[in-house]
Order: sequence, then structure tokens, then C-alpha cells
Amino acid sequence: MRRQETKIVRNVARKLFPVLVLFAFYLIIYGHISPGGGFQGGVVLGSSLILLYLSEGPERVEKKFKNSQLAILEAIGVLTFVGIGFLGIILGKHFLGNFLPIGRVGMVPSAGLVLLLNLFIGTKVGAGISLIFYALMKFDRRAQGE
Amino acid sequence: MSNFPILIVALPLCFAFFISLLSLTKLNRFCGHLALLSVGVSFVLTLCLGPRILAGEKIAYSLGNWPAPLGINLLVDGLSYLLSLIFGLLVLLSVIYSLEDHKGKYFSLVLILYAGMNGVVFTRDLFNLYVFWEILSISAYILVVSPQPASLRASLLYLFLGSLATALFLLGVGIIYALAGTFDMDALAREIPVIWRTQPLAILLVGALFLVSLGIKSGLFPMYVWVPEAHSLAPTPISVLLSGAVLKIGIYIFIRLFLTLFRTEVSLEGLILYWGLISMVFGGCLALVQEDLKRMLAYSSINQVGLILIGIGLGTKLGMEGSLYHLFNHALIKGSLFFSAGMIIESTGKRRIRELKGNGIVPFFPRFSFLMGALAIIGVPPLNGFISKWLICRAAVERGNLIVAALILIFGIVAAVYYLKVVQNLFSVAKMCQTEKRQSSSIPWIKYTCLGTLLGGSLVFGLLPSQGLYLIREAVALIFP
Amino acid sequence: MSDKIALTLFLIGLYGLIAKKNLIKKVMGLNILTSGIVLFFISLGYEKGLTAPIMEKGITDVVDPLPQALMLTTIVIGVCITALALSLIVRIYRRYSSLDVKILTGEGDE
Repeated sequence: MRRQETKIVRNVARKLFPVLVLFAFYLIIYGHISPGGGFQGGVVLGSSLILLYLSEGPERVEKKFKNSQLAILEAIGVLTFVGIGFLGIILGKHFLGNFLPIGRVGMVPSAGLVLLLNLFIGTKVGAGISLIFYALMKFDRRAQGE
Repeated sequence: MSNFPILIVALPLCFAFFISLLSLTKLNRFCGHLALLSVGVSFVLTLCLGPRILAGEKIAYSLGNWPAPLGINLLVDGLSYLLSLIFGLLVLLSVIYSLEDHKGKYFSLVLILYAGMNGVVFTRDLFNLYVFWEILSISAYILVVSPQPASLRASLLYLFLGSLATALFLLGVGIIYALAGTFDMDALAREIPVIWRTQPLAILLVGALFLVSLGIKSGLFPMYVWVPEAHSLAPTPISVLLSGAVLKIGIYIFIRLFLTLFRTEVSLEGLILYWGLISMVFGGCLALVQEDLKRMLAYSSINQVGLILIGIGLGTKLGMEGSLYHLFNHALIKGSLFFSAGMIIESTGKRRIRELKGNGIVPFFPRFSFLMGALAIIGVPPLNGFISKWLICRAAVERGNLIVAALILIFGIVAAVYYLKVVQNLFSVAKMCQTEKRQSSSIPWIKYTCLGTLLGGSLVFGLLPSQGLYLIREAVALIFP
Repeated sequence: MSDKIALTLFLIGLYGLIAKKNLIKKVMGLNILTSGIVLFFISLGYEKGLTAPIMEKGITDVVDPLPQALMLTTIVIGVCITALALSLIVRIYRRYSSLDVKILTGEGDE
């Protein structure tokens, strides 16, 4: 048995979803020059997906955002992070050593590696939070199916 | 060479996520081999550092090239090298052992566990130490879950106690930050004696929080509840890692924080000595009455950890030597005991000690290696357990603490009672049931190599104790210069 | 003041973790305990009248950013532990059909 959410909830969630995603990317991209950052943005990204999941129901969301795709995204996020760290070693600096120009304080493309690292943390956390939610919901659905 | 410390930590981490990516594709069955490769590379890098460390050098590394008080620093010295060596060996053998039985995500968790363990022993930053400790604990909580349903509750119990321990540790770290304003261990070593003069109570509070948290994590007497549950219900390779490596992390952090960092005026030696004694006595007594084979081994671990603490608590150089050598030996011996117990349980399907009697299907090698491991841990001369027990006993006698020495000997005999009970059950079988039809053993040869390596190690380090003492010399020199 | 609130939260969490019989409530206790520690750390860096530590022109008095950055890590770890504990509890519930703490000590096996 699956509950059908009311039209109001579904409409509001659908309108809210793009705004949340935009806000998430704002938090991630401005993470180094204002409060925010990769993890915070990633959590907002993940919760936007959770909102969609709760209002639209599992089938439609899991068709659009597949479990396996999210898992791949999560692994790629970490791998790129560590890869950038190793790139620092290869380019003659230390692990995670900065090899990009530092730029001007207060601009978005500044602070060297931090912006890039924030982006990958954001994707990883967003995918990870949604995966945790999927896993817990799957328990629920299996229990209802029994 | 200068990048080795971070590579040892980061390579397994990198491969862990690569494996979790790989486990989604059709190349699923190569996950184990890839894990083996990465642990092997990491272990070889650790070995490469060996000559320099054992010559008395310390290798420092700062992440992102940020100098000491700002950035996170790694430092490999004698003590961390010894621990890293143990972890590398045990993780390598566990991965080899589990190549056939497990796949995919399991290996990625083992690699994260390995990265966390190396991180804990290398880092010089107190908060970073907490983070690595949490990383290794979380993967350990998950790894305890095996196909047996009871392992779920063991994992949850371990999770509750483990997170309580790390939370207490974090609170202690917070109080230290409030007092000293830094997390860097080198800076703290200078700051703490100054703060001690003005605010001794706060430092005592931090010490108490750390002690409780480390006591939970290394399974000391009143907080040992999770040890038998988690050790007995986890898959065999994970039992080896928990007993040989994860319990040792608590002892490592204790030595690192209390003996090389906070050398305050309060001497903890008496407390540690009696805590170790109580732990040893209770572990030994409870091991006597266990019916489950792996559970008995878990209680024996509590007993041995108590013995290691006694050596530390004696407060002499000889005692410390004995303790660190016993730490190393216990990892080898308990590894071989848990591996052989795992094989015995695998081939008979029975866990209870009493039921092992009358089973003709246990292959010879696990029985033999269990006997050897038992002899080593009891402390029978040609094997390595004897050397370290002898050192601790001699330290106790030199300190004039004859009761402690007597208790160590008595609990050697108690250990003999509970181990030989199992050995008797295992071997009485062989004579009675020779006529019985022997099932061809389904244990692949690769598992025997793990067991053989550990047994060979305990024989070598028993016959040539100078080699083992050479390994730990730098670690001891760190504490008693 | 915030120290005392942090201590109270920590003790409430400790009570919940130790004394509650329900497994889910134990997890809640763990979360409250962690948030007590987080509040304690944050209060170390906070001082009234100081701004966020982003070094733009004209900003001189900033708070200590280190505890805040570190607490983010602690929060992440807390999320992981909660997720793991809840998924374990779900599976335990399906096996034993109970959330009572007695499960942890092995009653009901076999």
C-alpha cells in the first residue's frame, strides 16, 4: 500500500526542487568566500532529492536518479578528491598542495584548489545522503511488501 | 621517499573507493585482487621506511606544505612504525584469507579500516587522530556484520560503546583546545606542563576522559562487554583484525598521549598496573568458563591486553620492552589462533568446544597450528610468547613487585588450562576417528599460507628474540631515552 | 552560559544512551550527546561582536574558525554513525521483532 501525496504537496515540492538545487550549488561554489562549503551544499543537494522522493513517490524518482548512478557519482567524487591530492605530489608539491593560481580575495575563482575540492565534496555528499535515504526507504518498502 | 607517509595512508583510501566503483560493474570478482595489490603496495612502502626508522630517524610530512601549528602533520617514528608494521601484516593476511569468501564492498571497507589505522598511528594532530579513529571504528562496526543474524546485535553493541568512547575522547580534546589553543602534539607537549601548574584539575579531567575512552576501546575490565560479542560473531579475518590490530590502537594512543606527550607530575603507573592486573585476572577467569571457541579466544585477548598494560604500568624500560614485544607477539599469535579457529569452525560447522570432540574431519594443519598458537600464548620456551612474558616477569621482579610476577605466572597456567582443554578435544579426536571416513578438506591452500606465515613468524621471533627486540628498540627509546 | 547548556546536553545524551530501553531512543541519546560536544566546541571559538573569518577589506576582528571547521567533521561523522545505527536497528527489528535493549545482550538468540 502506498500513500498518494496531495496535489498541493506535490506541486510545491516540484516548484521547490530547482530552487533547492540552485541554493545547493550557491553554497558549494561560494563556500570559500562566505559561510557554506562542500558538505553543507551537498546536504542541501541530497535533501532536495529526498523532498522529491517523498512527494513523488519512490518509483518515479528512482527511475530518474538510479541507485547505481548515484553510487558511481559518489565514488567519482572521492576519487577525484584524492586524485587532486596525488596531482599535488606529481607536480612537485606536497599531498593536496596548491598548484593553481591563488587569485584575488573575494572573487569566486580564487583560493586555489579549495573551489575544486568543494565541488567534488558537494557531489559526493549529495549522492551519499541520497543513497543513505534510498537504503533506509528500501527497508521500509520491503517490510511493507511482506 | 619523502612522500611515503601520506602514500601509505592515501593509497588504500583511493583504492577503497575505486573498488566500490568496480563492484558495480561486471569486473566484480577482481575486487579482492585489487585490494590485495593496494595493501601489498602500502605494506611494501612501510617496509621501505624500515631501515631509516630503525636507524633512529623520524620522517615527518606536512599535508599541503602547511607548517606545524597550522597544518596537519604526519610523523613516522619507532612506535608508529612498529604498529604500522603489525597492521600491514595482519591486513595483508586477512585480505588473502578472505579472497574467496567475500567480494565487493567488503574489501573496500577493509581498505578504509587499514587507512584509518595507519592514519591514527602517523598523525601528530589530536583532532586528526580522532577523525582517523572514527573512520577505522565505523568500518570496523560494519565489518563485524556476518551472515549470522546475531552479529547484527554485536555490531550495534560495538557501535554504541565505540561511539560513546570516541565522544568522550572528543570532549577531552575540546577541553585541551580550550586550555592550550592548539591540537598539535609537539606544541601540546610544551604547553601541558605550563597549564598543569595553574589548572591541574582540568588536566586531570582530560586524563580521566581519555582513560575511560581508551579503556572501552581496548576492552579493559569493566568496559569489555563488546569484545567477546564482536570478536566471536565477526567473520574470521575480521576477528583477527579486531583482536590483533583494533584493540592495539587503544594501547597505542595511551602510550602516545600519556607517556610521550603529557609527562605530568601525576604518575599513572600504579593505576595502569592495577587496571591491567584486574583485566588480566577477569579475562583469564572468564575464559575458563566459556563454551564457544571464538568467545574463549576473545576473553583470552582481554587477558593478554591486561598483561601488556601491566608491563607499561611497571614503569621501567624493561617492562616497556616486554609490553611492546608482547603487543607485537600477541598480534602474531592471536592471528594464527583466530585463523585456525575459523578453519576448524568452517570445516566442522561447530563452535562449541565440547562438540569438537568426536569430529574426525578437522584437517591436520589447523589443529597443529592451534596447538602451536596455544603453546605460544601460554609462554612455552621456543616460541615468541615466552620471551615477552619473561621480560615482563623479570621487570616485575626487578621492581620488587613479586605478587605481580606470581600472578602473571599463575595466569599463564590458567591460560594453559583453557587452551589445552580445546587442544585435548581436538586431538583426542584424531586417534578415535581414524577409521571414520574423512571428508576431503574444502579449505583452499591459500588460507594455509596465511596461517603458515604467522606461525613461522612466532617461531622466528621466539628463536631469535634479538631480531624482535631490534624492531622495538626505537619505540622504547622514544619513551625511555 | 553556553558551556552549561553544552554540559547539560551532554549529560542528557549520556542518560539517554545508558538508561533508555528502546534502541532508537539510544541512538537519539547518542545524537544529543554529540550535539552537546559540538556546542561546547563552537562556544570555544565564539565571542560576541566578532564576524566570520573571511579576510576582506575592513574586517579585523574575527572569531576563531578552527572549532567551527572541526565541528563540521564531527557532524559528518555523527550523520554516518546515525545512519549506520538506524540501518542496523531496522535489520535487527526485522529479525527479532522488538526494539528492546535486551536483544543486545543476546536474549532471544536460538
